[in-house]
Amino acid sequence: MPIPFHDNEDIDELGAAAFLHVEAPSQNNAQRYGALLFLNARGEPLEFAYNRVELIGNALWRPADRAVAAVRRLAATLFQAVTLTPTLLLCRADTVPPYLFGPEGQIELQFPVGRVATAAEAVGYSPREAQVSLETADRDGELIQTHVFWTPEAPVDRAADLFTRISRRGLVLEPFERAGKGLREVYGDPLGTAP
Amino acid sequence: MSEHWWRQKNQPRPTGMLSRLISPGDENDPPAALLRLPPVLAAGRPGHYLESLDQPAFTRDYRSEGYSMDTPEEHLGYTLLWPARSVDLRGLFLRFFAGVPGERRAGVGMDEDPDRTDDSAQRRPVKRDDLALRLFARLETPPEALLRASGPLEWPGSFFPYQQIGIGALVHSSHLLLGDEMGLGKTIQALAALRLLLHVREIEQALIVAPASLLQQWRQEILRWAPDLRVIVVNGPVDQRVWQWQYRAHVTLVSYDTLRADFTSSPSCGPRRTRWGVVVLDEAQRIKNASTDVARACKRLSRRRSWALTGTPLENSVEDVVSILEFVAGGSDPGPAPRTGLSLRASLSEYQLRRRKSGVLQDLPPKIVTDLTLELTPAQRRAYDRAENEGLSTLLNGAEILIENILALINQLKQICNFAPAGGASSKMEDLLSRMEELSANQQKALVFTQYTSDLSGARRIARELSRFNPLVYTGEMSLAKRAETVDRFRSEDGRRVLILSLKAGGQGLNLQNASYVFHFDRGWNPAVERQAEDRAHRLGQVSAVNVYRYIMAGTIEQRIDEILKSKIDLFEQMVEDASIDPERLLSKRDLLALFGLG
Repeated sequence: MPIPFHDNEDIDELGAAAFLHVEAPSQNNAQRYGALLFLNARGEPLEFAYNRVELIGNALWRPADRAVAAVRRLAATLFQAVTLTPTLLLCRADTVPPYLFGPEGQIELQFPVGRVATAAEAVGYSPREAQVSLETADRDGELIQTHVFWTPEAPVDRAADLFTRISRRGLVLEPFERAGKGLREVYGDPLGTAP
Repeated sequence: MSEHWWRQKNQPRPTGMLSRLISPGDENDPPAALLRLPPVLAAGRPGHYLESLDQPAFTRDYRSEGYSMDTPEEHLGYTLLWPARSVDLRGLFLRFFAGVPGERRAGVGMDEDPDRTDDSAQRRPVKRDDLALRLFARLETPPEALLRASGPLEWPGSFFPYQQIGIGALVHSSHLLLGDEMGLGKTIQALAALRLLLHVREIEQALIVAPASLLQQWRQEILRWAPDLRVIVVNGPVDQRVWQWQYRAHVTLVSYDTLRADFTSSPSCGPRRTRWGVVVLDEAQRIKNASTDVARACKRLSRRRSWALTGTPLENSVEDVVSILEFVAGGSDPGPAPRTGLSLRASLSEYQLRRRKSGVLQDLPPKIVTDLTLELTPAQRRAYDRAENEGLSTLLNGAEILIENILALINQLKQICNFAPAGGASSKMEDLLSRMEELSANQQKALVFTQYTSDLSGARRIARELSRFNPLVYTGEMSLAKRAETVDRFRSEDGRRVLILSLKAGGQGLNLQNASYVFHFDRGWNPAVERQAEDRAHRLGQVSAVNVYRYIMAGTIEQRIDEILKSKIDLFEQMVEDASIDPERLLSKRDLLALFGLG
């Protein structure tokens, strides 16, 4: 039996944060790659699901809808695949549309979903989303202004505690890079070398 | 696979055309024929399934038991569930913690060394092309993030770049002498490396051996820098120590003396009942004499990694270093035996990581050392000359000149240099009083080191003379608790302007950056010990220049000792810093006689 750390119970109590990461190899590429990475409040990986889909080839679909449909399908298959139940879900606002999740969205989740964007990024958001701004560490450890658009509402209770913990520990943006590295480990060349 | 936490609502779909899902890990996409099969028939083909969002047919998962390392060829699933953190993933972390200068065994991992055993688990061989294991490693928290103050481990402060290098070297090294100059944060580097290794389950238990006076400081540093670790201090009566050794803590702290007492011939004695992941020797010069029981006990501890921490690996002779390197090179996976003589430097460069303040801490305020050469007061001079003449006469008239007698005479003369035996006149004290007046007026604090503790010429006498500055005294005669309390009071109470320390008890390990003036009231024999003492103030966290004053009485034994000290500094510089020599042990009987113009 390993010797438990003093904060093990706290960490377990808070559950897992899920990070949904979606990538397109290039603008005209017909594939979308997705990963769902579960981390505990200490940033330790718990589960990693991955998949890729091809965009629908039907000419009746508008390009934007094809892309959204692909993200939806990726998310659904990843949710289907994983075994853990997250306390909250984070995704990048530039890859996941505001109306995908939530009560009004195509996929309904039973916990808060936060779409993350740095202050420098221009992204759309829905008025139904609750916007929260915070400072969190970027890939170099520098604190930067970041927005999180929550649906159906900002986290409370355990989810709020978990989010506070991961944001304090620089785990709001960094896990998406990790998930990207994981996708490259699986798929290699099509995604290039850097997230 | 349940949908209890997510639900997909009905979506309009274009007739007859859906996205095609592709199984990962396959070289080729699923055969077109397979795609036309109903989902239920597609099930059972590892890695393949048909697209149907309402009824996906995942065929392979590892969810019920976690991932099995024994079946690396079956990693074509879509989800990878981390095994319990107790499962040994050692090697993955190290392999990706690469490129750190000072690393000695980069790449040692499960691939290269499948038969190594852990203190907790048996490692299993893996194939480098195993996708799941590559993912396990790739998805761990990046090492650079782990070392950030704003990272997942929430360090209470930031590490300097040279400290990150030191931590990396420790993480990678089974055998390392961290010989950084005093004040560069060896304790913090060792603690950080320990915490990282414990978190990635590279090790389960560590033993830290330190001087008794530093155990509480270690404990406090662990509470601050690694609050998640379980710590036990082994001390107290024997019956308490028996269960303390059995307590399963991440870090066990013990003094050299307790280790020596508890290390018996029985393999089941406290220190020997555990195979330590790391044994850390703080102030490792304590084992410089290889023939002592404590040195032998340290070297016989069962361990995978051996780290020695000391800013002064060489105090007197090259044998000091050899004994320390014997410990460092030992363990379950021993390194090359340390060489002696002219080849010692090669061994040092193999095992030692040493940085100097001047090289890595441009921002650390300077240390300004000033020799204060004073004349004895007339009363001191009379007493001194009389004692020297009588002592020499006794020495020369004896049948044999014994070293003990020479040392006794030197001690007598040095104490007269501090205070006249009759009346207590003291040039040093006069000077110190005037300087303290000025320092106190400027709200400064000072440390005064002395070799002696007595009421007549040592720490207590100095304290009495400096009573108007609310002095505190720190000597080896005090209990460890009292010593810790004294340090706390000096740090926290503004009115305490001066701390008087015996060189032996207070010269190591203490952090006293709130003082920026250091006085050596008298001189010891060892320049390394003096430097250590000065670096209680001149270390990380110091914001002012540190002024060091060394009292030397003109025309006395102190002036002659000073010359010897300077030659010993030369030895240290040449041997430890950057060169190799094979000097004879200093301070032979001949040297001592030469102090009096004899021999």
